[in-house]
Amino acid sequence: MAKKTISRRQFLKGATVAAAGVAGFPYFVPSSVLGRAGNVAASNRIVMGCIGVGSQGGGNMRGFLGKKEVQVVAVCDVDKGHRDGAKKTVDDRYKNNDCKAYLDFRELLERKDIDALSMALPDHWHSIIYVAGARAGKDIYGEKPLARTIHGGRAICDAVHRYGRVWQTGSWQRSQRNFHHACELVRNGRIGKVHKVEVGLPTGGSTDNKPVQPVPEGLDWDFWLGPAPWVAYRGVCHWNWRWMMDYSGGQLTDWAGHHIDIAHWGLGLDYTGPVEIEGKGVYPRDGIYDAPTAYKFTCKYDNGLTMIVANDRQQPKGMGTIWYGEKGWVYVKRGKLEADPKSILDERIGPSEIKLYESRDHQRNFLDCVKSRKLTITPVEVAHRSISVGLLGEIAMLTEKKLRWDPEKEIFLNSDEANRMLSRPMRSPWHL
Amino acid sequence: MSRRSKVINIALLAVLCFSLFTNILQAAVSPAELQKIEKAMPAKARAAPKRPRKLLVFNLCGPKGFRHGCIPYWDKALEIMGRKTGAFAAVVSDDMSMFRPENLKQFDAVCLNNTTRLKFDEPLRKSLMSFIKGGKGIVGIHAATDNFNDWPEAQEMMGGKFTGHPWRSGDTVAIKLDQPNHPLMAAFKGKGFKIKDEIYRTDPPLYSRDKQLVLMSLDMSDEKTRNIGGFKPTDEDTGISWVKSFGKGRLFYCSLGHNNEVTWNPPVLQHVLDGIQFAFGDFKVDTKPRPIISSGKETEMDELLKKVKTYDWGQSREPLTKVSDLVRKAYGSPAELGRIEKSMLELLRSDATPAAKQFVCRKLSIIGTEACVSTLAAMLTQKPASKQEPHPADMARYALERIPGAAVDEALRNALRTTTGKTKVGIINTLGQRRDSRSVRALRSLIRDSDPLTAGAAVAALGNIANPQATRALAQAKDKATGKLRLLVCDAYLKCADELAAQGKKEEALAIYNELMKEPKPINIAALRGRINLQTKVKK
Repeated sequence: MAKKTISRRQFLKGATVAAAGVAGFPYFVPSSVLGRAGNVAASNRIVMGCIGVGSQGGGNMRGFLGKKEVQVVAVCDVDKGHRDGAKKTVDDRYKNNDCKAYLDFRELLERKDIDALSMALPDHWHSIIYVAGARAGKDIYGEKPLARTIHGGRAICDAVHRYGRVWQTGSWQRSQRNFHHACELVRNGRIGKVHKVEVGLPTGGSTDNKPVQPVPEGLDWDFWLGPAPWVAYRGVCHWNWRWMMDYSGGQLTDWAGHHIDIAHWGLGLDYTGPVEIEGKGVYPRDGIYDAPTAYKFTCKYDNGLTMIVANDRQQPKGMGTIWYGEKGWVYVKRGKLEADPKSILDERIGPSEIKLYESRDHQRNFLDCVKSRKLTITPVEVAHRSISVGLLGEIAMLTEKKLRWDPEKEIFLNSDEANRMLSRPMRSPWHL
Repeated sequence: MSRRSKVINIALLAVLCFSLFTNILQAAVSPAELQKIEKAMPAKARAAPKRPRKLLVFNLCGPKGFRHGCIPYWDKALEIMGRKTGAFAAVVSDDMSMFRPENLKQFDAVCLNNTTRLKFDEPLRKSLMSFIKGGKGIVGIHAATDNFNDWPEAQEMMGGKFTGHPWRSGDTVAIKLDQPNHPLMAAFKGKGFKIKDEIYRTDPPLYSRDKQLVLMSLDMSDEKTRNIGGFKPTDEDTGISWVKSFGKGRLFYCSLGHNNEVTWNPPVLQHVLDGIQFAFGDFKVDTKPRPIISSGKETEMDELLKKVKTYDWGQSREPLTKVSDLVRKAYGSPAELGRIEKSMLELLRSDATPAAKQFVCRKLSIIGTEACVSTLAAMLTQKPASKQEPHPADMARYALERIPGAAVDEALRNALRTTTGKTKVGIINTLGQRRDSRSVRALRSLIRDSDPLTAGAAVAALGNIANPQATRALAQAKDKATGKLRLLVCDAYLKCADELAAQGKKEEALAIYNELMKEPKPINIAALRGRINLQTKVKK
């Protein structure tokens, strides 16, 4: 098997990394060329299609419906219930019957009038559908985690870069004041050199063992499975796919795009990854769910930094991100920001210091960037690097080995088994 | 008389003396027993000696070594063996000076007859090593692994170092044939057997299926054998006899023969004779290590796989979890994994449920080797019994796609010719993922396939392969393709351009970008971006 050269990725990646150095630096291709005229209508309206309109996708869609310049014209879901409900929500909002509901995302993507996509699907679908979206020339607001596998994530980055699309990841914590402040404090050395960061994510719940049962009316089970191996329907589909390794990696990968993402942001590690990963997971031994419920792994970075990712019950501080530096620590989670010494919380970031990208509305940031063609606050490569840590931890726990990782070439240096887990074969006819 | 020949003469005299001495010991073998040995001995050798062969039968034990009562029996048995079959002449000795180069050179092989705690000084070490590595043979009987305590290279040569004998002389143990068809195993006619004997353990990692070809080993599926002697999980693989190539030389070791009556056990004698002839170089046989253990763990794995065989969705997946545990523990050990792989392939060829086969394919996807190819390739052309089960071709590809090796690529390419529809599409996708450059020719003709899924898959695969031939194929396809397919061709062609740009082939990349600038959105935008990227790189 010929090994994929990393160089093509590097070629695509290089430009973005350079651009990301300065927040707000204009995207490489002038917006006029990149289809401002065509993508955003003269009226400044952004025509949007929503793919995956269940719980998370439905919420995202409602958010976009609340933005004046957005016009949602199409929804897509393999579950008729979701599809019809979303169409009704859209039509109610616009007081017409114009929203078109699709079962097959490929039909939606063929529509030339759609500029941007809001996508929220089970992780195992991400790589195929995000790549297809970018290839169709659409800008994308896509849910985290970026991909189910590291190769899948890399393919998404390539496609987004290749087609010059604006990408926003649903890692919305970056658009929250407390997270932003915490990261700026750490980045500007308020706690000195950081040697350790602890990331606490939720603990998994109990398992279930439902029998095989008829597929509910209106759900296209085969389509829902898509690239994943065919299995009989057992009453677990929406939301709870999170606890099955064919579709997701449990709480770990569900939340990696949040608190690990924040840890990277505070450390300025948005464009790299660890060099060594080791850990242990606790997996349900029976029942339909198989993702780890408890997990703890340690990542070492090239600069000597240690990142410990674990479920909250195995972290001293529980949920959230805490950076430990020579002069103190900063701890942040939803609705909370603490530090030691406390006084640093009152400090202002000076004009000559590092200013992190500022956004106070994640969806607004996306829409602004669709218009300006600038980089969003959570561009695709950043999302890829955030979920990579979760996926690397997953593989380290599955192999129970201290793995050495090359973040540049994105290969393991010491395990054949681990390298095989970087991608997943897809059920026909799906492919990247 | 030169000094040198004097030494030899003294040595020969010594041999004579010790022969007399051993003759006294041999008195321990009664005439009736001698008769039994004579009778049990094969009438002729199975290999014709290339020239008259001479075997040094060495039987000294170090001061701290245990001296086995069976030594005179084996001395006698080997003498009779050589004489009766004409395979060799045995010289029995316990004189260390026999290992001096000038004495050793007359022999074709050395047989360590239950020697224990032998110590070699530096010159003798060199002598023995150059003797073996230079192309001669070494044979070990029973306790022969209990030597060379501070000489790792020799321990390595023997394929193990004695660590205990949990199975004692009064125990009857079951032995299974790991290589039933190996020429040196002909004596056992393909069947495992039971024998009352003391069994020597040689713990890993010195003993390793990765380093020697184990011909037979203890059968841990036999409850009695398993329960004897404080069996520990680490003792699951206990080799009984093995061969190994060492330098240009050869080792044959057989752990049987503690009990005197083994020297009149016809199959064992035949086996030892074959092994000695192999050590001489008269019996050309395969010595390639086979990392397949079929011992204690196999029983555990096979018991589990028996349960897995009937697994269906909705049932308890506990046996599956246990199999996963065993597989994980075996990561990094080709020997263990090879054994597991073999058992799993058997399940795939059986009437196991589709859910069980799918589970096994998931495992093989991570641990499989080219040994999987024939079984999995056969699944590529199978059809599912109903729509309510996974397609065998999807399951097979789930494993094959991540298994390295040219044999896998070849099997996939072959299956391209014999499959249609979605099965074929899947195979195309897998070839693309594997970046199999040799499939470009076949993929290129599939661009014209009447089925749009097949054509689209072929185009995407070529974009993933992105070598010069694939790039050319896409360039030609672009001008003929229309509609949706044209978009796919352009996407794949862009990937090729990006690949060229990354390789520093700027001119070629630029030519493609320029060509694609003429396409409608979004291809022209991507082409422009590629051009700008190219310039950015140049500026740097």
